[in-house]
Amino acid sequence: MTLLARSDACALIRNGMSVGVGGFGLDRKPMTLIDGVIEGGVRDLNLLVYAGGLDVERLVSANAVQRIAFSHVGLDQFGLAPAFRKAREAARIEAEEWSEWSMLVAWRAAAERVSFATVALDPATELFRVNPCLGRLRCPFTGGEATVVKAPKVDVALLHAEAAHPDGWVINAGDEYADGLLARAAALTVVCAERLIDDGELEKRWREVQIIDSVVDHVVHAPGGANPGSCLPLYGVNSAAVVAYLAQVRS
Amino acid sequence: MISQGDLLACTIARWAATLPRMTTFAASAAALAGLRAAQELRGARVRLWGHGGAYDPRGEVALFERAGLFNCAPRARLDLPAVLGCVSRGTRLLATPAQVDGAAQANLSVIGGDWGAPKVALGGTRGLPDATEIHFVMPLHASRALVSRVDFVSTAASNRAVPPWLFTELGVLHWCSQRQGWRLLERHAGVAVEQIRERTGFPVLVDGDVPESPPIDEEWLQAVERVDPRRVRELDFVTGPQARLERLAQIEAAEHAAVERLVME
Repeated sequence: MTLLARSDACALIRNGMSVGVGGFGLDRKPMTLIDGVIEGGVRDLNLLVYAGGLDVERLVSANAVQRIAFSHVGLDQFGLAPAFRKAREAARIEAEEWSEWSMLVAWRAAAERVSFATVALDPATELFRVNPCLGRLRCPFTGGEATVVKAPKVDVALLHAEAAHPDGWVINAGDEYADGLLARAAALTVVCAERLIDDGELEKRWREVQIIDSVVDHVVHAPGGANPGSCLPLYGVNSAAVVAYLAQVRS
Repeated sequence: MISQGDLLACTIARWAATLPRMTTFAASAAALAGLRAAQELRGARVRLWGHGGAYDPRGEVALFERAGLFNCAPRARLDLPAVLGCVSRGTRLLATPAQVDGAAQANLSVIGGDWGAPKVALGGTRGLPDATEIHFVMPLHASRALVSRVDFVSTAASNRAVPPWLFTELGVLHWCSQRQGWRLLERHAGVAVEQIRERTGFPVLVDGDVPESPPIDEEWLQAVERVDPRRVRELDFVTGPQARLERLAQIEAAEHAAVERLVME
């Protein structure tokens, strides 16, 4: 467990790695780490996002992504994500589309180090046709059909948090989303924190710890590190930056 | 003057008033305003997720200041995976997909072309195949959204135990399992059945004289206004990217001002 400089943390990401990114939509995305990965010129990432936003936009725009697993990518109230959309339409990235719950169950399987898990999923969805990580098996107990999901390989998880202790205890006043699951699923977890806390604050706020130190490998101190996205409830979305981005894409 | 947003929110509120208790997600502002109004006025037992760990909050509809305006007086702290994990008790989704078809299938994935290289890539299927109950809120009633056959089946709402409802600016439809079609239950004031047929891409089941929706009660209107004082619900009817951005900027400024007022108080 080490406190790392941003550049050292970003240097951990290499071509072709499977990288899971935490947060949800425009909230609590580790944007400063994403920018660092792009600056490093990394290519061919296998990206995993539960709900992608500007993280996906920037990585796709930088041609850093080969494949993306997602249940949703968008810019919340600002609408569709234009770079993701263009890349999908031009087949410049391979897509692996999931439903929200099936993706969580697959990540949970990875966290538990099993190769697959069963899940409840609408049998009519065409996700079965397009996502090879969804399948069907005969249940050995009931003889009925069970839906199964393949556990992903996650080399690195990149997360953003309100606060972290240098030993890796992670605190968020907002929603955990799937960050804890991703940290447990990954072989290596890097948490970017708005603030570092000491032993005294950790003792006071232990009820708010969402991710424990045993699944966190590195902490990076980065105030404002989710900008231009939000880190709720500390700060909201930088709307002007999102609007400027959309205008730039359109032009 | 009753706006489109008022009409849709009040219609949903009236429907939601007697729903059984269940975690309920709403994808559109008008739907959320309707659910909140039903909670306020009739004690509806829909339980909402506050997008910040706040479960069953009682605040105002908000886009930019959810933490300060919407996540008020929550009943529990429950993160999203925990909410979705209550599979045994189900989740109800008021979805606004890109397409709904005549078989009650919905699409939030791609439009046209091959799935691997679509004509239009949407955001993704999200929780459509996961929800126990699915109902549709399609503010703009148009045949390009209410289609004969969806381009991709994200889910089939017709295979759920509770038949889906479909709310639009023109009326209310309900899935008829027996006849495997959408039955028109109500048309909004001044809307003709023929108008609904023309703007729907699938056959609509019409039994006799379809009644007009009951007039919007002042009580409901006031409840909707209370839970959505900045009229975020009207955003569902704004078309065009520039107009949407302008409306978003107005909403954001109004939300910031409301939070500042709360801080001053």
